Amino acid sequence: MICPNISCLRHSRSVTHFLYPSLSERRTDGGARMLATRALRLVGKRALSTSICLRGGHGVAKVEDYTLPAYFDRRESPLPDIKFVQQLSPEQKSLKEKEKGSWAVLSKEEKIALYRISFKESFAEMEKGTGEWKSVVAGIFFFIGFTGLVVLWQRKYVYGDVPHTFDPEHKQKELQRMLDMRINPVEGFSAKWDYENNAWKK
Amino acid sequence: MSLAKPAMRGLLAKRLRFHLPIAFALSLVAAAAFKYGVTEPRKQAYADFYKQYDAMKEFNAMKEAGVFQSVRPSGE
Repeated sequence: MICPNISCLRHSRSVTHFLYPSLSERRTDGGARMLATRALRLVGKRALSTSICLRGGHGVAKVEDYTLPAYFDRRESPLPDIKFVQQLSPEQKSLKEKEKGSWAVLSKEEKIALYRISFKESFAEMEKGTGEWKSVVAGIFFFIGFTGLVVLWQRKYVYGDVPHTFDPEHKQKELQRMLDMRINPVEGFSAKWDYENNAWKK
Repeated sequence: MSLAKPAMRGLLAKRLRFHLPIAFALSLVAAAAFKYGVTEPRKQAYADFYKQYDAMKEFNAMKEAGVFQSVRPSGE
């Protein structure tokens, strides 16, 4: 959709600057600014971000939702760009008219209704926790349990026998050798053995 | 409905004034507990062990048990 002959705001600067660099600086610059100010007065404030090309018979560019200011409930930006309710019902319109007067005469429900027009959730509602952590913890426990089952199955069907050094007689000989070598005689292993009576210390 | 203006400055100083003495005290307590619960008993245990330690007796006992390679038991 490259159309260098259009002198509207969107096309003049970007495209002509690219294709005819010598022209864009001087000739189209003044013309684009004049047309832009005229266009700004015609188009409302809301459509400012979507500059519409009307000249050259190319039609109107579609306004995408994501290009317009959006409403967010966020603690960091407490005042969103737009009000929550964009299309007011007749009651809401009359309430907005009443808001232009003194606020002291507004009832509590009316004040709350005005709040709900501007905002979707109050701070308390938006900050409240979801309870998602319970599902997460439940999932953690479930998968740990499942892993336990897998480990049991492995022990039975995958692993072979332990080495012969785990036999009780072999372990006994190992322990006797440790005592003979006086392993940790001060505070540890051999310290608990009574060498006189050949038994563990009581 | 006029709330008092909240404290805007000196928040870190206030927190430190409260928490630092506690932190120092707890650290000292932890160090003292380790010293008198672990290291002093251990030093005492080693002192007691070596007070009545006869090296030659232990060596001969180990030799008879057959754990050395350089000296074999008297029987062999």
